[in-house]
Amino acid sequence: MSAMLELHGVTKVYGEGAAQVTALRDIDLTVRVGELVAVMGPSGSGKSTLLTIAGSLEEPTSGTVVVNGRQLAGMAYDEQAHLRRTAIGYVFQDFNLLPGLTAVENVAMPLELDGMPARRAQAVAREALAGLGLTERVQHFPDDLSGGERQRVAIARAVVGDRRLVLADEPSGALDSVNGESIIRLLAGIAAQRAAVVVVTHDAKLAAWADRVLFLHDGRLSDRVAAPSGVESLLEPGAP
Amino acid sequence: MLRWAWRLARRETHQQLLLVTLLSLACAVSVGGLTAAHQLAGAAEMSDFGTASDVLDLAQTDEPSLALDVPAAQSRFGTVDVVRRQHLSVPGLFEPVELRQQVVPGHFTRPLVAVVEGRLPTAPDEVALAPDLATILSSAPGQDVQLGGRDLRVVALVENPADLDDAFALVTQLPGGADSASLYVDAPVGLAAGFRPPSGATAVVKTRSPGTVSLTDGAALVASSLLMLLVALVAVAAFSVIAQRRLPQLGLLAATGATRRQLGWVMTGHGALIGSVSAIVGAAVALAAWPMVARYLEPLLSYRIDTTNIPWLFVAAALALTIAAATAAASWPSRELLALPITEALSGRPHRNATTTTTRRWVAPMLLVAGLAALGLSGPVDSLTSLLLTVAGAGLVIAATVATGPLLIATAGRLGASVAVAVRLAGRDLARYRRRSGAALGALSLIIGLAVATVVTTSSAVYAADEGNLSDRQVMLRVGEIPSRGDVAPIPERSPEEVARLDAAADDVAQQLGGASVTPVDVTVIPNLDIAGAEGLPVAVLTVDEGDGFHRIVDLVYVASAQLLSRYGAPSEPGPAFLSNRTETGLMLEPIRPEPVRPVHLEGGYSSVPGTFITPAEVTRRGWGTARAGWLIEAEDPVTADEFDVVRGLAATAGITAERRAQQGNLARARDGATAIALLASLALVAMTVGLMRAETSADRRILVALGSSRRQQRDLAAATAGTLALAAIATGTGVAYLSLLAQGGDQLAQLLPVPGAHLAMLCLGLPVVAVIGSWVLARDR
Repeated sequence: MSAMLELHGVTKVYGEGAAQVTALRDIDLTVRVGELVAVMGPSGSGKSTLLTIAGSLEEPTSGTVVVNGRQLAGMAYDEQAHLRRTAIGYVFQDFNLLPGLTAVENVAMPLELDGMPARRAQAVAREALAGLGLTERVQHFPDDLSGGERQRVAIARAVVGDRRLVLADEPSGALDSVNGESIIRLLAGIAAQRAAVVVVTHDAKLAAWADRVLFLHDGRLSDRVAAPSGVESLLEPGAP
Repeated sequence: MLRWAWRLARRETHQQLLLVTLLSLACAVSVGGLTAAHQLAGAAEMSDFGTASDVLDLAQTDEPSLALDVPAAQSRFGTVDVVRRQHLSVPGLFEPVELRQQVVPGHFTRPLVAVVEGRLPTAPDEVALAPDLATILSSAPGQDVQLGGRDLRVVALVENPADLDDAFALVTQLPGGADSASLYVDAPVGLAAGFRPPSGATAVVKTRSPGTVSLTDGAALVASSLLMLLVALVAVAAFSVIAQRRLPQLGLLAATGATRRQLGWVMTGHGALIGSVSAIVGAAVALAAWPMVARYLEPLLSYRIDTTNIPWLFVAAALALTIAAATAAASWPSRELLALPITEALSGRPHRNATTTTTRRWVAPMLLVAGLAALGLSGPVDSLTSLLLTVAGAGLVIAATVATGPLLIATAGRLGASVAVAVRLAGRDLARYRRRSGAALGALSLIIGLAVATVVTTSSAVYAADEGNLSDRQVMLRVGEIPSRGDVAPIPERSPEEVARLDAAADDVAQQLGGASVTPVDVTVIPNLDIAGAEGLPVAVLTVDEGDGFHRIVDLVYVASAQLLSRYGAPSEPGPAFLSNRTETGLMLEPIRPEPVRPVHLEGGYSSVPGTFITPAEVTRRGWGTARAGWLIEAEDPVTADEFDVVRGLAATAGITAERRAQQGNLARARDGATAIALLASLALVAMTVGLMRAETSADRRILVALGSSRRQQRDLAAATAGTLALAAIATGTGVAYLSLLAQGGDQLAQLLPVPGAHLAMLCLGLPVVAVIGSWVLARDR
């Protein structure tokens, strides 16, 4: 499988002088299509920073980031935006759906931003939502959906089109255990079918679904465990 | 609660500074406007009455009559200030110069004369001139000026502080005696009206109206209240943002046991605090700037403003209005936020957007229909009932305009997939934050509506090409103003040689205008009729009876000629003896004795072009004569200002006067001013609202960035928000303004038809275009 995401020597430093904080230190990471990678670590360890840098929302202080074979450094803002529209999908803990748009409009948004006519984009979005069991909810606004439904809409938005890199930041953090596991199943399925998926989570039970589990501590990838050998024995991966 | 309000007030500095700036500015404008209006109303009264309670105007009098009338007035009223006047025609001036003789300083007329430069005249050959008159006469203190055939030494520049446009010459003795006079008295109510001058002269009594000043003040207060309503609508948006951001803090207060009433007091207390600070700052700024502003206003108001005369009651009213506006604006968003469950308030992210409201759709149309009906029933404002209906109608229409905002915003929020994504998102965002965007749209619509109403009404007041005093190609030359006194209008006798010289001067003027046509204008005179006090030949005039035996001249009677009659489409040799475009009933021919006449009606005509004619045959039949009164010059092209300056110089040299089409500059200035102010205020309001919306939707914009929106798409969103607001405001404001004007003047639709295209285009096209481009350019990327 080809590498969808590559991080080489990525370091991220915030602030200056006494207020300086190093969020990431010399990170090397490669994620391939078909792989589900879980990133675990305590609060403030740099997990979310890792995702935002991988997704071109932030620039590293040093090091290089390559997405789908394209190096982000030196890329113009709108080129990065194009990459996000066509190659990268985000799933956030608090869903981050646009509350003024219906479910189908939210899912169609990346396609519309990429220039696809609204009606065609919404037709594609409907298919994506149907694939996640939300056929009856396409015209509902986010406020009218349950937490699990909202996260499924967010996942549909992350994968709609032909995007191959899905970055999920605590996707089950705001959900109960049943819905949380359902979401991680979806992500695992998406990884298996066509994408590279990176999931940041606190939940070891969900991490057990991953092909690889990475631990971040004080900005360093301090350990790498290939599931199931590392956590399987503890967490019984794949258990319903 | 006040301590909590104060603690909360220390946060959200940016929004609060914006609010304080906005409210302070409005307060300063209110304080300045109310002070100026109060002084202006006082000035009008002062100009008419000085400090007297009544003024007896003797429009037609002479020294022997005054010798009888003044002592009689003194015995009846006590102290009497007498202002004697003599009107002199001066070559080159359209209006006669007014020579004035009065005691300075007078008992009642002290505020009506002030020395600007020099000293008051003390000898019969000395004169003091008003500055404008000195300029017209090209004279200054120390120089001589010829008035009434005498050389007078100018010893001072004087002015009427209550009317800076009052162009007069102050002398110690009128060379030809008074032709009119005013007696200033202080009399108990009704006593002056019963005064009958023993000379038999007609005295027109003017009595100070106690309501004049308060009516002007009332109108200024209404205008200030309207301004504060606009500002309050804008402030609602800012208070909504602040309230939204304070949600967790309010939730915390609620969680620790604060009642809803206490929480409500925190929010309204914050509004009162902001309002109080703004009121103090605004009033301080206004009062500090008042002396400077007053100097700027004086020439515009034609009034020397006493900067120490501050109407503190109205200043207090402006402060109260500011505090009330801020308090009301702060309490508006509080109701819904206080209805939230505490847990949602604590999270700062209510499940449903707390600012989304349902709008009763029938409210705005009902208010509009009721307002239009009231305006339609009011008619011309000539009674208390019509005034009340007009005020009620205007209030309902304003309320309808404000209520229409949320409706349109809700419609924008329902835009479907057929519109561009930026426009759709903008509509949805506006709808989500309808509380603040609707209030802002209401204020925008009101601004646009007021501007459109001003532009349309001032445009309809502009003379059409076939209306006004003269066409733009015409110049009216006259041998001099024919002073009308009562029912007598004498014209000086001129020799044939003198008339020939003046004819030649008129021909010179015509040559300067590219060989323009010259039509001599003659009046009908009655020879051998001796009228006391009138020098020259009495001109035949048309009069109407004004009651109490007073006849008012409505027109001079001109000798019909083929050239003049052709302007009215009348035959060159008319059958009827009298023709006129006057429409009054009860017309009489004077001055021999009032003779009822029914002239054949002529349609239209310019007001300064002769409009009442008698045929030469009728003149001969009656044994009357004719006298050259002027010349109507008509050029091929419109007469420019530069050409008219040359014409005026030629006319002055020849001793005749020149008149051209009135430019109606005030109406144009009002139109331009309303358009410019509305554009600037609207753009500022759009910018502020878009800024608030972008601040509120910053989380959404971060999502869009994550989804891959480009810089252009983010700018498109800001531009679409601004454009949607601007277009909705224009649709509402323009529509409501036209409907209101139609309702009030329904039987005069034609007056609204000359659409002021340039100004409306500036508003209706300029505002959205500038708003869209400005928002697109100024929108920050991230």
